[in-house]
Amino acid sequence: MRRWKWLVWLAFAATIGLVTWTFLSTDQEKEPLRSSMPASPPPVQTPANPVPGDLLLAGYADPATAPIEDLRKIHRVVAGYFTVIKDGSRFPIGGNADLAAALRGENANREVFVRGDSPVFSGDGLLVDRWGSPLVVHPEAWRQLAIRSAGPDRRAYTADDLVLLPSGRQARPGE
Amino acid sequence: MPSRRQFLGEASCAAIGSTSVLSTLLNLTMANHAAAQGGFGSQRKSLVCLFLSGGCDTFNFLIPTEPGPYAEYAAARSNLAIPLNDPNPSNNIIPLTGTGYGLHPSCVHLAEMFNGTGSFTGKKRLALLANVGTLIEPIASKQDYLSGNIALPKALFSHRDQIEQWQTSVPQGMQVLSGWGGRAADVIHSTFNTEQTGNYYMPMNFSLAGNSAFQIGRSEGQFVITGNGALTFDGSTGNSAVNQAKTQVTQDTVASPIEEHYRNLFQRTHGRITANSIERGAEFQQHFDNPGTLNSQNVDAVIAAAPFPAHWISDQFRAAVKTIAIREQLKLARQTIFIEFGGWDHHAELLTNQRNMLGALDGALHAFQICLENLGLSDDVITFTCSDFGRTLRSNGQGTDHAWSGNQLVLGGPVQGGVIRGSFPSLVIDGPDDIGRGGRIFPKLSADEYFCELLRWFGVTAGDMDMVLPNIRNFYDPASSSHPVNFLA
Repeated sequence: MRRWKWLVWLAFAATIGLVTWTFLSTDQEKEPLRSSMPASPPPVQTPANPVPGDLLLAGYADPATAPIEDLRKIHRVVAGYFTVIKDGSRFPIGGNADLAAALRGENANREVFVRGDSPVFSGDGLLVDRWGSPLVVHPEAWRQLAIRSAGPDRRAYTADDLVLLPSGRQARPGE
Repeated sequence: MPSRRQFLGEASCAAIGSTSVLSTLLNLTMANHAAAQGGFGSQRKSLVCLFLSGGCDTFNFLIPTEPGPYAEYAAARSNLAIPLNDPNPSNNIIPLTGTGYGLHPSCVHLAEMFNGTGSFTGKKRLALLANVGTLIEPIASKQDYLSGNIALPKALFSHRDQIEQWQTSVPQGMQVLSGWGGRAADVIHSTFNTEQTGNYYMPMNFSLAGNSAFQIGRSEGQFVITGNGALTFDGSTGNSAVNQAKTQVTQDTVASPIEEHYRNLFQRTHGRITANSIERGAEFQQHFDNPGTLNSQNVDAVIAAAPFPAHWISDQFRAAVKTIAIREQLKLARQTIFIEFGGWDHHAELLTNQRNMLGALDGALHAFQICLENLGLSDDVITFTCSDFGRTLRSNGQGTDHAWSGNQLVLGGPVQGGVIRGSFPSLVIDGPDDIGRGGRIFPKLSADEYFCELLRWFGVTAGDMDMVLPNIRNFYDPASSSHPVNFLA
C-alpha cells in the first residue's frame, strides 16, 4: 500500500515537472537568439600551474631564435584558442587588446590560455614583440588573424616589419 | 506599359471573372505590388550600392561642428582630428547647413549636394545616416551590450565577416550565402521586369566588382560586367569585330558540342548556362556600346562631358550610368548595380589616404549624379554606401583600427536631401556609446532599417520583406505606413 502511494506521488511529480519544462521551453523558443553567456560572467580563475599556451610560448623572445618564431608561437596559441572557443559573437577580437584579454580568460568559456604573468604581455596587458612594441593584430575574418611585429625600428608599417598571415605563412616584403 | 489605374481595373475584372482561386490569389498579389508601389512598372528604378571595402573611417567623414561636440571629437581623435579653423580654409570641415555637423574637407561636392548649392542649387540630393551598423536586435545602451543578454553579430571587427553581414543583412551568419539584393531579386524580378517575355532573360543585378554576396539570391544571380561592358570567356571586353569572332568561336567550340553530344545532366546544364551567358553578354554589350539617346540627350556625350576625376573608380561609375541608361533596352523595370571602392583599411597614413580617396569618391559621385540629372534619370536612381565597419575613434599613432558603427550616405532624386538621420553618438572615449578599447561606437540604427527603406521604395512589399530582411521585425514593422528611418522624400 505504502509503495503504491509512493508510485502515485512519483507520477504526480513527474507530470508537474513535464508540464513546467514544456511551458518554460516554449517560452524560450519565442525569444530571439541569445548568447549562452550569463549576464554577469564569473571571474576568471588564474591557474597556479602553466597552461598549454604558456608551454607553447616557451622560449618567446629568445635572442637565439629568429624573431619570426615569436609570431609563429603566438599563431599556434591562437589556433588552439579558436579550436576551443566556438562562440563567434561574444568577446569579438578587433585587435591586440581584445586578443590579449581573450587569452588571459576573457572569453566565452572563461578559460585561461596564457597566464597574465607571461612575458608575452607588457605591463599594460598588451601582447608585445621582442623589442617591446605592441603587436598589431589584424582580424581578417573570424579565426583568421594576421600578426605584425613592428620590427627593430619599433614603428609599424615600415620595411622591417615581420608579418605572419592567418595561414601561418610569413608575408613577403610589401605583401 | 499599362497605367496603374488601368492595371488595377483590369486586375479587378480578371479576379471577378475568374473561377480559379489560384488565379484570384495571383491577381491579388499583383494588385498588392501595384498598390504598394504606386505604379506597376510605370517607373523604372535602379539601386546603386557603393561598397567602401576595408572599413571607412566615417567619423572623419561626418564630423560635429558645435563647440562642445567638436571638442569631444578633437579630444578623441587627437592627431587625426580634422580642423575647424585652420589658417588654410581647404583643410577645414565643410559645414552642412543647419545641422551642427560638417563633412571632410575633400567632400566639397557632396556638401553642395547636401546643402543644395553650387551645381546643385535648389536640388538637395544627399542625406546622411549617423551611427548605423550591423545588428541582430536593438541595443539600447552600453550596459545592454555588456550584459551578455543581447544577440550580437558574429565576429564583429573582422573584415570578411562584416562585409558579408552588410551584404547579407543576416549578422548571425548563413550556411548558404545569399545577399539582400539577391533575395530582393528573387521576389520582384518576375513581378516587375514583365517586359521580359518568351525566352528573353536578363538578370536585374549587375556587378561592376566581380562576384559579391549582395546580389546572390536563392534563384536569381548577378551579371558581372566591367567598365567596358560584358565579360567574355577569354577576358576581352567590347564589341569589336575581333571580340565578336572570339565569342562565336567560344560558342561553337565550347557550348554547343557540350549541349549536343554529352548526355550527362550536369554537363548539359553547364553547356546551356554557358550558351545563355554568352548570349546575354552579347545582348548586353550591343546596347552598352550603343546607348543612344535618353530624354533627347546623347548618353555617351553626357558621360564624356561629366567632370569625372582621373581615378579608376570613375570607370565603374561611367559604366553604371550606361547600364542604367540602357535598362529600357534590357527590359528592366528594376535593377541593382554593385560598385566596390576598396582600400579604406587605414591603420596607417589615415589623413593622407583619406584626403585622396574621399576626394576621388566626392568627384566620382558628383559626376555620376550630374549624368543622372542631365539624362533625366535622377528621380529613378538611389545610390547608397556601405562599409565593413567604422573605425576606432582613438588614433593608433598613424591611423585607426577596426570598430563597429559608422556613418553612411544616400544620394538621389528620391532622397530627402539636407537631412542627417539616426542618432549621432557621443564621441567621448569610454563614453556612453563606446563599448571600449579605443572608441568603438555601437550602432543605434540597424543596417536592416536602412535597407528596408530602400527596398520599400524599390518595390518589395511588406509581405516579402521578411524573406529579404529576416531580422527586420526586431526593429520595425514592415507593414507600418511610416518609413523606418525617414531619409526618403
